[in-house]
Amino acid sequence: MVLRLGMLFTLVLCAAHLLAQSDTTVLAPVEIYGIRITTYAVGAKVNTLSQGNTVQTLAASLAAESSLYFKNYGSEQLSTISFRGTTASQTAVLWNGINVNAPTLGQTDFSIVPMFLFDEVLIQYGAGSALVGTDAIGGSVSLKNENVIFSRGFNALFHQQVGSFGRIASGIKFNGGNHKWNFSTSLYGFKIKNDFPYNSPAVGYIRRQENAAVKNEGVRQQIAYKISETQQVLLEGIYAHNFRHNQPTVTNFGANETLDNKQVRLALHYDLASDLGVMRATVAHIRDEQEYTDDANSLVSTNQWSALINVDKQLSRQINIRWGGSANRYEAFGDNYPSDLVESRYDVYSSIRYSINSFWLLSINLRQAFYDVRYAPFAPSLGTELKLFETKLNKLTWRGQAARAFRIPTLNDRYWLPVGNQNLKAEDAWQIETGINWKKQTKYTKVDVELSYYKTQTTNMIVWLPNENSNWAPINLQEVNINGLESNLTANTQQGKGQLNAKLSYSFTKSINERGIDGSSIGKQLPYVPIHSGRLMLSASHSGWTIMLRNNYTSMRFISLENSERQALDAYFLMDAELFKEWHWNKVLLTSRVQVNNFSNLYYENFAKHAMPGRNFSMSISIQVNNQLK
Amino acid sequence: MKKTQLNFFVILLAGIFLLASCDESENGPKGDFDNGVLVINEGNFMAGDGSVSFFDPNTKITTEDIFGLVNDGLALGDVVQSMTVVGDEAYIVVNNDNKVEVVNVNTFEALHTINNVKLPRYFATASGKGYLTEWVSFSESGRVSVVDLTTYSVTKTITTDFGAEHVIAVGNKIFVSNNFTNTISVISTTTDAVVKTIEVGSSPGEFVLDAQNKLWVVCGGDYQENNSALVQIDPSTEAVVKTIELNRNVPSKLVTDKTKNALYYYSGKSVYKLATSAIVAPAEPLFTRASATGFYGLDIDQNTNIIYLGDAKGFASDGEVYRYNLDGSFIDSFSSGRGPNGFVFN
Repeated sequence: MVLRLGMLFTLVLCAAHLLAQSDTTVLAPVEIYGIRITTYAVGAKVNTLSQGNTVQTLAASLAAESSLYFKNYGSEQLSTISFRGTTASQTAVLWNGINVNAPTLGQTDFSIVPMFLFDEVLIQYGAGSALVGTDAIGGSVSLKNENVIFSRGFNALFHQQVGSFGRIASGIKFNGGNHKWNFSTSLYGFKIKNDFPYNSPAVGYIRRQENAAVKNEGVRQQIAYKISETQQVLLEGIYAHNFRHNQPTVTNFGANETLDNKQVRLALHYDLASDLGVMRATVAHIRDEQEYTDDANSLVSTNQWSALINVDKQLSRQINIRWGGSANRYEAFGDNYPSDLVESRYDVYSSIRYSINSFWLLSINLRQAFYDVRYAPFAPSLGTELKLFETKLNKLTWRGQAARAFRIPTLNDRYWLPVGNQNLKAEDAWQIETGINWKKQTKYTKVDVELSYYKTQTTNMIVWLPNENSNWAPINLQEVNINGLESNLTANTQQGKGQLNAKLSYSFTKSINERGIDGSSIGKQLPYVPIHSGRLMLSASHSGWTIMLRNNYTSMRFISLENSERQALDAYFLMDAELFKEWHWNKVLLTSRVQVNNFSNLYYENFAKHAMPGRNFSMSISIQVNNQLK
Repeated sequence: MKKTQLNFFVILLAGIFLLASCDESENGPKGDFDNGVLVINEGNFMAGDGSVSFFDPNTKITTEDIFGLVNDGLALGDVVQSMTVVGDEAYIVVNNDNKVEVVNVNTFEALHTINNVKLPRYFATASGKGYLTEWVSFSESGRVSVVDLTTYSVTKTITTDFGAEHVIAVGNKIFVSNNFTNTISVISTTTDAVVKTIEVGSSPGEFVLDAQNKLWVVCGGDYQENNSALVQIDPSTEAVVKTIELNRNVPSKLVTDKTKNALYYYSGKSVYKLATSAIVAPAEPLFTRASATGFYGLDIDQNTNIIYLGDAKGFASDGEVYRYNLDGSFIDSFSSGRGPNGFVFN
């Protein structure tokens, strides 16, 4: 049956958020899933993005988030994150609750995470270690697939895109099954030549980018079986391959470096609903291989085995509790690691969410992690939410959170031969956060305004410096104090067949070095953290047509600790536009789209001396079929 | 902000110009940078922020990125490895951009770019020709490209050994240290062919000539093995005269002072001095700078005998240059571009 369904090209989970809206009653989920982890993040800021139906990277999916900055080494090239003014290793990236940051380097290259294989990204802003463990100092990014719904029928999606500089992207998805089984398959391929022209002031004439071509492909397969109304098993596997020529600096001639990344993700879940609560037990295997080629090759690979258990229990109408734990075992292979490098880490946690009354919510989350016979800092968080005012059409909420977060030193920090330092302490952060949210609704119009302030103090940050033997070695040294403001405004109004939407977000981030290698960097902004960052999205829809404008303002970024203005990257204001039309025929939704990115053809950089493409175009078509039967 | 910055530089330049003109009122200055110290700033790997700073020892004023300043904001490139002055021209070797920028050393106007070289390292001249070492790659033998100094074109390439690094001319020979090996290649500048391969210690780096016209090469040794060595070679017989074990790890920098009777090298945060007549390495450093982050460049001004020592500050911020007298007494310091790895005294 899998085959037969597979031959109908596609499926679709991704479309679920779109299609599910009209089918909410039919698709009502079995009560076998626990409540979302973010339900316990009372007082924290969370956001969910549903973007699984185009072939794009996680970096591209998150581009609209003004509190996130990506150091892109070019178009579709290495992208590391700075979330709320933190470093690239201070954001947890999770899949099924498992931290999938590379255990060697402690960070994720967001350009090799294929969003097409996931349905949504859940973003938790700020210190989240109490909920998700290590690395969640700036925030956490969780890759999600929708909960399986056992019903007869299928969903399918076919997506095809072509664009400038040799961009070709194809993807198909299929999801189908019956009341016992569910199968889900996603497949994508992507390539781009990336031979875009650029006009960098550092070069002085227009050059065409060399050595920046990228090719990706990947697949995700999921099989779910419902044992009974209270039990199910789910097996999922992902393989993603990314091959790229590493885009060199703008002044370079004759670059020939390439990087080949292979990712394998396997998980088996068992879900059980009982009087003790809703339990999910997971065993998973994660493998990454990275081969760097610059005439000579170097290969680094890591294996990770994980076992997790999570139990959610509603104790009363007012109280939810959650508890669980995880065990992770890591291996790393490469010339610079001991041949027998194996490390185990364990986490135990519990959470409580308490609705004191109809307007006051409280949550407490606690976590303790252990690694390599050491304790990571005990990470508690305490959050609260208070409805200050509520009518049928108006709601004003205040929230606050205090939390501790940590980052366990990476395998490189501790085992890199011969300078790895086993005595390194975990990076340690405290954060307080507060925010208000105002929602107003009238017959045709909705407005949502949110303001947040946070303060993060991080100590024991690990930096690599030359030691007395002139070899680079890691030490606990840096201290950083971050103060940030975030504001979001969304508004939409609907009249007849027409709809107008606006989304404005602005982030102010002061990420200040308080202790470092010497005095010249004290009191200075961390490199690659823009102080001002804003996004504006405007869209207008009418009878199936939508036109959308997206703007991105990113202020000047320093690239060195002492904030040399001479080298700083210029601020930029980017404009993208797209036009799309949706056609509905019975169970089929066809979307065709034309997009212009960077239409003012601005030269800009997100990482020093690495060109980003100027004006570029793309066109795409998506066909979604939703054939859900009773 | 840009504008004020520019104005600042204009004023700065005018100042330098005035001061320079006072100094050389007889002959007139050949350019803004003809009387001072050029600091080679390697830049951060892959950040393309290599540069050359100009330090005027009289005014103590430093001008950053003079190449960009003079050439309308052009960037020098990624990993500026070395600079060699030939007459009024400087050959600036930009390792990771696979190129050599030729500039007027006094005005820093860009004159020419030599492309089609692979991971170039150092440049020297002999017999009226230029010799450029290139690593080529990490899996192939390095080479030396012979450069025509009038057309800037490569006329011949000579394969040496893995990691062709430093190059020095002695008479009608050039000596090339093959850094990924333990060999020195000797090339005749008459035939432009390798005439001999000399075995020295592991990871040979920079050469200097001493007062007896003997050649010294610093061998960095094996990673963390504390087996660096200084090897003295007789350039006429092309034979090793003596080897001095340093019992520590030393980077590939080696310099002499005005007398050329002493060698200077650094390890960690200390600078060591070794008489060319010595047979064992000094146990104690000449001086130590405990507050330094990590030394990266070392040279001695042969006119003033002042030691210039670059601190790369972990490549996370702009570098700093410390100045010391030969007796190890500290003079002063000034900031430079990122990763100061060498100096040219113009």
